[in-house]
Amino acid sequence: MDVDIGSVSLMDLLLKNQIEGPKLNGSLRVERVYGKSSTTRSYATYPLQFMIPKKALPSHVDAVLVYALTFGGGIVSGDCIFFELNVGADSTMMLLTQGFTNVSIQEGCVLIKLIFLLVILRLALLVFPNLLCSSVKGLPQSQIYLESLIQEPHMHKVYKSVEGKMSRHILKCSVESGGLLALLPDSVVCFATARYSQVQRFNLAPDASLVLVDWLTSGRIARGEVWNFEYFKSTNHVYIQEDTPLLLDSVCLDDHLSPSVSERMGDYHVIAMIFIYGPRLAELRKLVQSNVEKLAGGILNNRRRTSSSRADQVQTPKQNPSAPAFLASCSTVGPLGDGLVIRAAATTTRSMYGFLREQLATLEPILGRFPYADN
Amino acid sequence: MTTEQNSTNAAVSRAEDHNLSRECALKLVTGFLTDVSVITDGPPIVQSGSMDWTTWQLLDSLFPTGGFAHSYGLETAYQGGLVSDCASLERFAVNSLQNSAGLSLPFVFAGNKFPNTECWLELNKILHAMLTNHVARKASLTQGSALLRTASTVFTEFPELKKMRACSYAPTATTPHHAPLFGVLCGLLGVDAVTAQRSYLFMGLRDILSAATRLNITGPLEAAKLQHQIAGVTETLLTSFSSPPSKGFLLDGHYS
Repeated sequence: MDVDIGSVSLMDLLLKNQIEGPKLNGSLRVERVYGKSSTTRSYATYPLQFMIPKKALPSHVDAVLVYALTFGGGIVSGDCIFFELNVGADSTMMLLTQGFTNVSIQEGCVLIKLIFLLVILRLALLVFPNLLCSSVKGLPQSQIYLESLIQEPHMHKVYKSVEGKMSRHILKCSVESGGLLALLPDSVVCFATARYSQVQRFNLAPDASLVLVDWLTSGRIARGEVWNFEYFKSTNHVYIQEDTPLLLDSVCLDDHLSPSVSERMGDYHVIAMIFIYGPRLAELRKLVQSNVEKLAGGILNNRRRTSSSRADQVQTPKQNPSAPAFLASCSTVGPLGDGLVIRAAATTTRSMYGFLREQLATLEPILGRFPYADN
Repeated sequence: MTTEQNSTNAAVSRAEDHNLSRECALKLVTGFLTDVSVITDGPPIVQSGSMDWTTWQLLDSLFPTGGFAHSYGLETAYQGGLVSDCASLERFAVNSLQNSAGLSLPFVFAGNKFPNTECWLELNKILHAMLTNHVARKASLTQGSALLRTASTVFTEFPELKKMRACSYAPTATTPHHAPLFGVLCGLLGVDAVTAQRSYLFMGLRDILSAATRLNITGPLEAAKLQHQIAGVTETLLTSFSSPPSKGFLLDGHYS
């Protein structure tokens, strides 16, 4: 979608989309084959890896479960992970990035084979140091990759920035008529001094469905790295038939602006956005909307009463004691108001997991499992 | 008194003499600025200072656009306990303006550079998808519609405004948002891009502090003091977020 007015393109002025240019690391297509959602194309190059465990979901559920992982368990500075997902008509795909610790036995068998392969690879690297030099600069980094992969292959870890370079992630998705894409990744975790930019572009048919979760924690809290990264930007663009913009959202946390990210975020350690759209998710959308509206109203009412409220498992913020420990709000989007955006902020990761689990529980019949259930 | 001031005074008093409505008086004054022969006989004296009259009129509370209806989220922040005193209000105002600058200033700039209906329709479509918060979206539409109604009535020398107003009635009605329309209006009036963007931020700050006074978070004198204190920071925001991006501006993580 581009409007040329004079010599300057409108999209150039307003939106800096960076889809063209970087090399494609992976491509995945799911479509209906003999009445069942099946993977018809799966291609990934280093450092990206797709894992598609068979029999991971109950047999009555028609969906394909995909794990997207990276060698090294994250994205180093200077790297760009760019892949595309295509969901064919009337099929269902769920993309996760959860770590090894939260898998079932069937998935475990595939993973054990993968670990074995990686150990062999590591030994090979000792002998041939230049084996993995495509986007890896030298041996030490690749060793770090392998070690961290075996411990915790969390794709959304963003390592520190070297020489001011960015870590990038680009995702291009299309969902055809009647298809459903559930993008339910783990939160992005930016290490100290990291610089990260993520662009996710979705092209939906008018009756396609999408549920998207995009969230960020303050960093490696246990190590004391709290809002210590330099730059974070997450862009989500959802279009209907390439033409009508449904959601054009961008969250940017830039530590170079004043006040610093840490000052601005205060005691909140997690922020999240959920986007729900489509006829197959209409019930979920209405349910979540009423839940979140009640929750938001409840937060305001508690403040008005000024009595210490909801002292259950969440801690009260220290910087601003009158601020609530959990905030959530929702808005409808789109020309017909049939999309829903939910935004939440929490002081603990645990409470955010709980919120996501609670709101997305009704996806279980469609996807065959409860999202964010294992934490 | 200069010739300009004399003539303006004459025009306003003439309007009063004839018991014209306030809007007609405004029209007469602006008519003077763009077509001097309406009132005086001499050649048009268009000095750089004459643009100030238009700019000040757009920012004045007298301009009937209902600009004070929007609190930029201050009301909810206050109810939610995030803003309770002057210090938290200042923090809120700066953060809110930073958000507003990042989101809206490119639209003000684009409207200013291409003040025509086709571009305006496209900008509305894009901004409608970017304003994901329904309260902010409704406020932008309210302010935009009000500004369109007022501008098409006051600045009659621009038929483009009437054309745009007609678009907002059409069956496939566009969503007239505030920022692009303000940019287009400034573009038509000949206000430069930087002044247009600065004016937009000024209005944002004005509206937040006006809401703060009405909510009793701060008194009118304190609000005025705060406005003066924040002015410097807001100018920095303008430099960081205004279009076209100035040297050193962070464009998707890369410093130019």
